[in-house]
Amino acid sequence: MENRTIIKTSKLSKTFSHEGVQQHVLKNVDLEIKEHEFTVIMGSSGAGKSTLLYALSGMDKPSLGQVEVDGENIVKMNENELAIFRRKHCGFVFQQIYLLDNMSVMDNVIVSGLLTSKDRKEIAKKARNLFSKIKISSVTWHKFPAQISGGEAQRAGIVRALINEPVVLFADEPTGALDQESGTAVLDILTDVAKEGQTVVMVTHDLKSARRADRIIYLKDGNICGELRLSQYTGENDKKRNETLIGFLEEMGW
Amino acid sequence: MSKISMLSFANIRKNKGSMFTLFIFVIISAILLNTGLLLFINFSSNVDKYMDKNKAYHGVAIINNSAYKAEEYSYMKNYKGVVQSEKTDVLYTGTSQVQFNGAKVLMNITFANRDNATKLNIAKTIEGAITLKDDRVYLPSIFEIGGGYSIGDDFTINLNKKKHTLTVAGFTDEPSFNQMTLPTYLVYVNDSTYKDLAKEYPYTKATSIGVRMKNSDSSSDLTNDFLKKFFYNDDGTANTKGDVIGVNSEIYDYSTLINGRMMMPNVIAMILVAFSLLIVIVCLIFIRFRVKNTIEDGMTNIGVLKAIGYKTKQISTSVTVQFVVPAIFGSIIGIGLSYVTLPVISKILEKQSAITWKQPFDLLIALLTFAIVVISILLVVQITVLHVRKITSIKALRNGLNNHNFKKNYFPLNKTKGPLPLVVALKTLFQEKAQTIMILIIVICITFTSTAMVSVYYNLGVHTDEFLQMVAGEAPDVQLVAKTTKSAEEIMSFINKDDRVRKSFYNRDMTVMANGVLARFTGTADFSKYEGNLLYKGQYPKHDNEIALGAKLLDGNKTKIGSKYTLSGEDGAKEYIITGYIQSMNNNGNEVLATINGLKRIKSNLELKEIYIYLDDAKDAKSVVNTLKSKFKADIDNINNFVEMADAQLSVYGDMMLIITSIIVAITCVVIILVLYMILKTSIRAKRQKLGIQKAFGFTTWQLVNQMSLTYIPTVIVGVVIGSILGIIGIVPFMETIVGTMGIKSINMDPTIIGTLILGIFLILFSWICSILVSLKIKKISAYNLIVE
Repeated sequence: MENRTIIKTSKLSKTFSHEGVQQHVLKNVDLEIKEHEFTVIMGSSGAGKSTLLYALSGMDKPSLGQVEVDGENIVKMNENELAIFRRKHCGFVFQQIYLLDNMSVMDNVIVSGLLTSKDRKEIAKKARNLFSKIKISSVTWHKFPAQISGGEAQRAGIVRALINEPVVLFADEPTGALDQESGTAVLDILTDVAKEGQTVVMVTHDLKSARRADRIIYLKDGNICGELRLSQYTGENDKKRNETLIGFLEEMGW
Repeated sequence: MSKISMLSFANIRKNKGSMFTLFIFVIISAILLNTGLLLFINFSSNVDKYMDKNKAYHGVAIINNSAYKAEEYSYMKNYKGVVQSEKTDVLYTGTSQVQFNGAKVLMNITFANRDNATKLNIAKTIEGAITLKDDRVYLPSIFEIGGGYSIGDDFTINLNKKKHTLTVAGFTDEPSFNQMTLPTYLVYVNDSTYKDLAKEYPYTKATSIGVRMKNSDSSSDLTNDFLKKFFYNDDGTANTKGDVIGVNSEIYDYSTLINGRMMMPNVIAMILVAFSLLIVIVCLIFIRFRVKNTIEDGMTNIGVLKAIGYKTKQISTSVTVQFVVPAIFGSIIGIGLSYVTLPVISKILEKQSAITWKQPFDLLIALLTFAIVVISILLVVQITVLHVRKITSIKALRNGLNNHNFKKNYFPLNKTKGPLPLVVALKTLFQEKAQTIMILIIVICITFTSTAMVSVYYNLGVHTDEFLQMVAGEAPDVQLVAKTTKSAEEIMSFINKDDRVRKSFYNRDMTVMANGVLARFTGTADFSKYEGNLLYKGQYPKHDNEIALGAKLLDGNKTKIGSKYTLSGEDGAKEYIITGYIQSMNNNGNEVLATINGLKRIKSNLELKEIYIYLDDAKDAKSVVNTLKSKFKADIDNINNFVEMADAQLSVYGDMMLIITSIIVAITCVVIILVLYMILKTSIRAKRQKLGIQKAFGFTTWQLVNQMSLTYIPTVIVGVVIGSILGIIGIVPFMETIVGTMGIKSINMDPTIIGTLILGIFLILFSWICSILVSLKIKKISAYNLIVE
């Protein structure tokens, strides 16, 4: 049975104006993302990857078109409705990590959790479980972001993103600011959560990151110019999966 | 443009908002300081100039012709230092009840002939352009400013038990008696009216002797010598039977004439100077915060400048210039604007002084204000920029140093209960200690002043008992003088049976010679019945040979408590022991207290006819007066409703203080707006990304607005509470400092708890609303923008 559609866009467009000059970053994008799918958005710099990600997640409003997430049309929502929508439906992992520097690692997670539940004990318990699953030691929980490594911070960022059990986890180049080892660890976590059924939408231009996806969407000049499904390649087919991906990207002009 | 100017002006351009706020702060400080200093330093000389211009008396005696002797004029005229003298005929009516500001007030009305040309005490008249009857009177302008009179109104006084009514035809700026603190008022009538009055009331005919002296400071010697010469014998005993002064004679020196006009201006000047210095301090605290912020915000720039070869001194100088330039311009503008506010202050002071204060530009005071504001800002900036020296180029480029080195996790979210925005706000509040302390100090300072001012207003305008006793000595609700001692006894017996009366006792005052000067000698049987705050050291007299002395009579070791002191009166000189010191603004502080028997030692035939009556409810004063008047009409010489009289006169002080209090509370609100605006704006800018992250994971704008507001409001609440408590505790020392120079050593003032509560709640709500409004800036920015910027 095919998974249900969790995100659907229709003629999604985004135009930025600066000093009278208009820049059409997204042009009539029609897109559907299925539940439990690990989708990667790729494209060259300025192709509109992050703009699309933030439009899908209700962080930014499109100039034209519709965006439906989990059956709700988010384009019609005002700022407050979007905030409430995000806390219930979306988790975010940013390239710059963006942990709140004045809060401990644990508080960074709980401050997000408290937006959907008042049960502090339950949230703390859930946070501890996620921390141990993602292998962040209890010593780190009480440290401030400035006192931990980038890799640890990004993993804490993933815990924060997952604390409210989001419908979709959005990740914007989550390994972009990390060294190779930390980046791989972060990708492993994202892959694991995706395997557990979490819908993940990730922007990247890193091939290693893209390899983890079930589906690749390639953007060029604000349009989806290609799409590749990798879900059929598992385990022993890694080589084939890699070749297919490289072939696709070369075809796209990557 | 030099390198340093380039850096400074680039920074000013970048921080336009905060520089503007700083600019406004400096302007307010300079306005207040310059106004306060002008008032403090120049108002009294302005009054002197006014008095000189109108040739006000330096010494004046008004003596009923029944007592007047020709040699009295020649004595005054030829007294050492007298440069001008004048003798004029007047009609001295003695004490009479006159309608003033809605109540009957005791006044010594003296009529002068308007058509007599005088060389001294020149009174210009402002006439009305309306048709009037012949019986016209020209009142001192204080009757218009404070007394509620207008041209065309009736002016009624009791003369020889009859009501005599004249029509107010205008007001004069008569310089000597035109004030509320003296009982005497010089009113002018036309020649025909004057002659009619003299004919109808011949017993009022009197002579006024006025002089001007080379040095007005010598005038107290003149009046004292004059009194000793003509009112007392060589051995100090009175040479006339009965108490002459205040009954058929009035004698004033220059300090008495002028002090009445200066009391409230002095109080207001002190308050303004104190408040302005406080605002300067607040401004300095704020500037220190801004300088630190500027350095932290511009850390990378500092690193770049150091890297390309700028010296620390050059960078420090650029920061200094950035703050000192607005300080210079703000001070100049503030000094200029203070001259716009002066007419407003002058209008307030006019209510008591009846003098319009026109202050020309005063360069010296302007320079003093400029120096205080600019130099103190320069010093604070210099001290604050010192730590630029410690920043190495590489540290600055890493945007580091001590930038937000969080160490302690305040209010861990998994353990702290409460609304999320509040808990997050409290975390920030504790993490940003320097900022929290700064807000706390500022709020404490301004709340303290506002609270103290509300209490001052409360004591001067609402609950006036304590203030009344401070300026008027012991003040009963009703004062009665019986015609005979026998009738006084009957009245006393009747009063004591009246349920409305709380207590009553005999009181008596007379003049006495104390160490060569004339003093008022007041007595009662039991001073424990006194309610005023007269005694500030030692104890009230209990035995016949004990006295308490007024501040003006104190003379170092000679007047130590326990020392002997000689007083002379009708029955000769007697020795007394000093038991305490009293404070009073009456009689310039020349006051002595003793028991009734103590008074009798120098006036054996002393009669007790004056009764002080105190009521359970002061509102009953009118009905008590009416009861006594109807019951003892023939036995009462004089009865006065002090409650009504005090209300009428004190309401003028209350009005003045209400305006000053309103100004101070308004400035407090402006300071709160400026401080919160600046801090929140800086904070929102510094935390844009943090706020964006919170918005991204689902905080609503309202939650973030609340969070920002709540970061500062608890500090404001604590500041307001501490400031209010200090205001309540500090009102007495605050006012004692202010009125200390006027001979008041200890005051009783009740802080207004309700007023303080209302003000405190208002300041908190006001701060909360301001912080919400400023924080609404967050609304305009989307989560996406906050992150990508």
